[in-house]
Order: sequence, then structure tokens, then C-alpha cells
Amino acid sequence: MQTGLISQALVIGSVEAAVYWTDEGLCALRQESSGGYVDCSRQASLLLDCPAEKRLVVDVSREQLEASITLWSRCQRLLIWLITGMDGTLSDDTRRLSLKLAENAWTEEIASFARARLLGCPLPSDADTAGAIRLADGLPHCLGMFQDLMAAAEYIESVSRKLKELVYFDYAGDAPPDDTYRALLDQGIVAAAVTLLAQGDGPGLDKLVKQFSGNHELLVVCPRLVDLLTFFVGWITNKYAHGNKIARFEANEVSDDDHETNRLTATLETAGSDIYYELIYKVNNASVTVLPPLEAFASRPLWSRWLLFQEKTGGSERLDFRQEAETSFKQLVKAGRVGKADNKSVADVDYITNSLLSDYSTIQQLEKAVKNGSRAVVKGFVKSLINKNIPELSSVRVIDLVTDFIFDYFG
Amino acid sequence: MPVIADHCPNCNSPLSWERDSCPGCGHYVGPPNIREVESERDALKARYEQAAEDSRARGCLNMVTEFTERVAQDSVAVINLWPSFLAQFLNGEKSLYSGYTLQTEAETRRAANLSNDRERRGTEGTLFGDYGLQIRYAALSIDCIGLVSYGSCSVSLRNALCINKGTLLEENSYSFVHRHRILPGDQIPEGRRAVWQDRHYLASAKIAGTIVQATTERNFAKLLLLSNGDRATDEFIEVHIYGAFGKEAFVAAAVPAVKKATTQEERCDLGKIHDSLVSLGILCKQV
Repeated sequence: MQTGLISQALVIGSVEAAVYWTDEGLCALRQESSGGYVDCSRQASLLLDCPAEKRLVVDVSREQLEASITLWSRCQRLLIWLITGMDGTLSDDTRRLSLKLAENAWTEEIASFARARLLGCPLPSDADTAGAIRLADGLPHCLGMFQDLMAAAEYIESVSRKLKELVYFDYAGDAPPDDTYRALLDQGIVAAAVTLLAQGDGPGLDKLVKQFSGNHELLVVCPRLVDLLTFFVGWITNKYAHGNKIARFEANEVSDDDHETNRLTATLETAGSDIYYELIYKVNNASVTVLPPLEAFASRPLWSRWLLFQEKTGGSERLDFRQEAETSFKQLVKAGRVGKADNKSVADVDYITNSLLSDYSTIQQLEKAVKNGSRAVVKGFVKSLINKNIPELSSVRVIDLVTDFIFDYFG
Repeated sequence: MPVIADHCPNCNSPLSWERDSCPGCGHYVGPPNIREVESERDALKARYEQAAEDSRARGCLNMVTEFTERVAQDSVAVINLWPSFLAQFLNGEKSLYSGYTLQTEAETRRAANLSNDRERRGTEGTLFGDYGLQIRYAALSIDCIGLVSYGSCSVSLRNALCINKGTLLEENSYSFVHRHRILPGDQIPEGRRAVWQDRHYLASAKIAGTIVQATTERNFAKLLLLSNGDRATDEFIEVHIYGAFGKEAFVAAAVPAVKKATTQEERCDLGKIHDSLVSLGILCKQV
């Protein structure tokens, strides 16, 4: 080690600081809003306790450590601003301001880090993605990121899990597996794969191996990178792109809607999935159940209460469910647009409360998503709304039905 | 007064002064800082009584007594953090945020090694020996405002945490070691530290000499802790908390109002802090 070098430091980007070790003991340094740096050794132990990501740097000068704090602060702060946009426990003002900061700070360099994380880690159950999309109106970078996230969300958990398994069990190198996995994730491999899946881009998946196999940083931590990537892409193709799905990838002339329908059918039927058989069982054994008390509905948005009403009365199992849904939905939209509900035209007068405004906001977002986004984006949006508001209705069939008539209506 | 146990009450193995558990049976014997300071309670009480006697002679015993009672009733340990740090402390464990946080084993291990490899160095080593890295620093305050020179957000810690883990030193450790010219291995002057329950004695022993007949209750907060943003002129009683704590230890916070933010980034952090404090049920005072 050269004289004057800091042998090891932990950079904590989200709090714009680093903890490092010297002959005088544990020290800490932080970046001020003016851009300068100030000693904060008194808080060094608290920084180590802070639930934030820490990144090890070794044998660096003071100037290099400062540069590292600057870089990782920019990356982590952008990521946190985007996550804050999805934090439903915070006020809209705070979330919106956070997204504005993200939009203003946006550069390709740091956005690629945020994208790799957001589309590489399973969407937490408490993420309010629909709210983030609403608040990102007029902020194109943020909006695009959230729409991509929504579209790809259903793939992230299984794809990231598979990559982790490969790193930990099948292609372990000398580097610790969690180091290797973080490097792969931060280079954007999972994000790229799930984005291609959401776009139905089969040829793009094939190119993934070539795209990342020459990455020197990854080769250092994972010498068998090419083998790992080849197996990884093969697994994705096998899982998501067999049967009808292969046709979807290879036949460019097939429309997006057909792709989506084929994919769902293929996934359910060829996989012999439990969901498929559960749906058959539900259809065959549909029975009218007693409606839950009205209070249970009170806090839900109107549209979700309407869907739940249909489900509880066996509506979703009836042949004319779709027609009914479409008619009622149109009336609901109309009611929302004029600012009042035609009580008799909606499912039941008792389910209408003063939540109309939030319903209308949701409808506006759906309309916008249909006009600006792909079917996959709309479906992701619908899925998120249903998961959040009426999780008991969160089945492939219901999500698909709702997506269908929303798409038809606004499309 | 309790005496520091030098043998484990469970298995009678000799105890190491800087450990919190018995090396023989693992029996928990309490934080080492508290065990160490317990032996000084008599010396502190004697200092306090002398200070009270002096103030009687100066005709201001009533005010000293009032100050002592105020500290006993209202004082809290306060840590100061800058806005992005506090925002992360409050939100970092939520699954929404932790879901995107990737710690790596190597870095965690290396950080742990920093702790394990620690030698007696600097002020921490002089005062705490091997357990220096376990000490978190706070300051004693009666108005919930701490050392703003270290961060604009003052966070008050739960009394229970301080009783179980905290001790006090009459001033900043660095200046204390230099003022008394204490070298590693030297005996610490007695009566300058206190367990949490005796903090009012320590405060009065230190401050009583500056209280005069003209002193009013309004002056108490600044007599106990003075911080104008310049660390060199900070005056305070230092609180030492043994071991890590989380946001569950926060009982109140004094945080700048959002409108006082100097940048948009700070405004966002402060907004997030205010929202989080409300949702966590932590008292929040805007300053």
C-alpha cells in the first residue's frame, strides 16, 4: 500500500458518506450540499448501523474516496428518489418532488444503475407502482422507467431467482457469490432479460449472451461468464418461450395482442399450471356467495368494489361477464367524467361513495396507459391495481378480462 | 453503591472489564461502560454536593436546585444527523427500500473485521479500550435540540435505552482526554462520568459554578448544551450508548421545517422525514 492511501472504506451512497479506517481509529466523511466534504467521525458507528447499502473500496487516496462518494451518492440517490415515488406511505407532495429530482438528475450513466436495480429485484409487495406512474406525469424518464417496470414485473422474481441459483450453485468462481451476483445484477443482465420478455423480443434474448459475455468487470468475478449466460438465456427461453410462445417470438407479423393471448394460453396449458386447473374448478363449481358487509367495501376504490361485487355474485363466472363488465365500466367512466355517478347505471347504488375522484384519476391513468403504452404495460397496470385493491380477485383470468375490456374501450 | 463484579455471578469465571458477557458461560453481565461507571457514583455525588454547597455560599442554591430538577425530569440523549442520513435511517428497513439494497457478504465481513481488529487507538481507545467501536455518541439536552454542528436533525432517544445502555461524560471525549492529559492505560478522573440515573448530578456538578443569581429558567437549555454550528465552540455533556440501535429507539425529533430547506434535495429529504415520523408515531417538532 502506498503512503497516504486509505486501506479500506465503506462508501454509503444513500447518505452521501463513507466510513474508513486510519491509524487514529474509525473515521467518517460526508459530502455537504455545497459539494464540499466534512468530517463526521463522531457518527461513524451510527453510519455502520444505518440500514443502507455499503460498498467496499480499498487502497484509495482521500481524493479517490471523495470521488467514489460522489459517484455512488448520485447512483443511490437516483434509485432512492425513484423508490420514494413508489412509497405509498409518503405524501404525494414528497413523492412528486422526489420524482422531479430524479428527472432532473437523470443521466445515462446513473440511470442504468437505477434501471438495473429496479428491473432486477423483485417488486416489493408494498410498492405503489400505479401511484408512481400517476405522479410521474410529465416526467418522461421516470414515467418510462415505471411503465417498463410495470410491464416486466411479472418476470423479475423468477428470472432473478434463477440467476442467483446459477451463481450460487452452478457457476461459482473464486469471488464470493453475493459479490458476483451483485455485479451481474448491476450490469443490468436481469433488467435486460425481463425487458425483452415483456416486449416479447425472442431474438433480443439470444443476443443477450453476446451483449454481456465480453464485459471485463463481470469476467473478473465470473470466469465462466459465457457458460452462465448461455445456460441462463436457455432457461428463460425454455420457460417462457416454448409452444405458442416460440411462434410469438419468431413471427413478427403477429400482433402484440395475439402474442399476449398466445403467451397466456401457452403458459397455462402447456405448463399444466395449477392456476389453469384452479380456474377450471372455479368455473365448474361457481356459486353465488353472500356479499360481504358494506363497511368492508368502504375504503376501496369504486371500480374495485364493482369488480368484487361481480365476483361475489358469481358474475365473473357467468358467460355474459365480459359484456356486463364493459357496459358497467363505460357507465362508470361516463359518471366519473361528468363528476357524478348515475347511481342506477352502476352495479349498486350503495357502493358509490365519495371515492369517485380517485376512481376518476385511475381511469385517466388507464386511458393514458392504453394510448401511450403496449398491452403488456396496461396489463401490468391492471394487475398492480387489482393486487393492491382486490387481491382476492388476482387471478390470470380476471386480470386478462379486465385488461381486455379496458383495452377495447380506450383502444 | 454497587461494586463492579469481577467474577461471573453464574459460574464464577473471571470477567473481562470490556466485555458484556462472561467468557466462561456467556452469562450477560451488562454493558461495560455502565459497569465501569457504577463504581464512580459516590465520587460524583460528592462533587455534586460540593457544587451545591458552593452555590449556597453564592446565594444561588435555589436556582441550582431548580436546574438539577429540570435535568432530572426533562433531559434526553440526542443524536444529530443530516437529512439524507435520517431519511435513510427511518426508511431503510421498509421492504420497499431494503428490497433494492444489496449488501454483500464480503463487505459485511470486512466491516465486522474492522471491529474485531480494533486496537486501542485515539481518544476512543483511551476511554473505552476494545469496546470503543460499540459506542454511539449523543448529547444531553433538555429542549430536544442537540449538536446542530453535526447535523440539522436532532433525534431524542428513548429513556429506557439510555438506562440500559447509556453513560455520560461531562464534556466531549476528545477535549476531556486532552484537558486531563489522559494516556492509554491511565486512570480516568473519578466523578466526571455518570450512569443515566445520575445525569442531573453530573450536569449540576459541571454547570453549578456558572449559575448566578441573575440566571433564569430560560437559560437552562443553553447552559446544558450550546451549539451554534461551530464544532470548536460546542459545549455539552456527552452521552455514550453501548451497542447499535435502530429507529425504534427514537422517541422524538426536532427537524427543520421543509420551507427552510436550502436545496430541493434537502426539501425532499425533510418532507420524507416529516411523513415518516408521522407514520411511525414519533413526535416531531419543526425548528
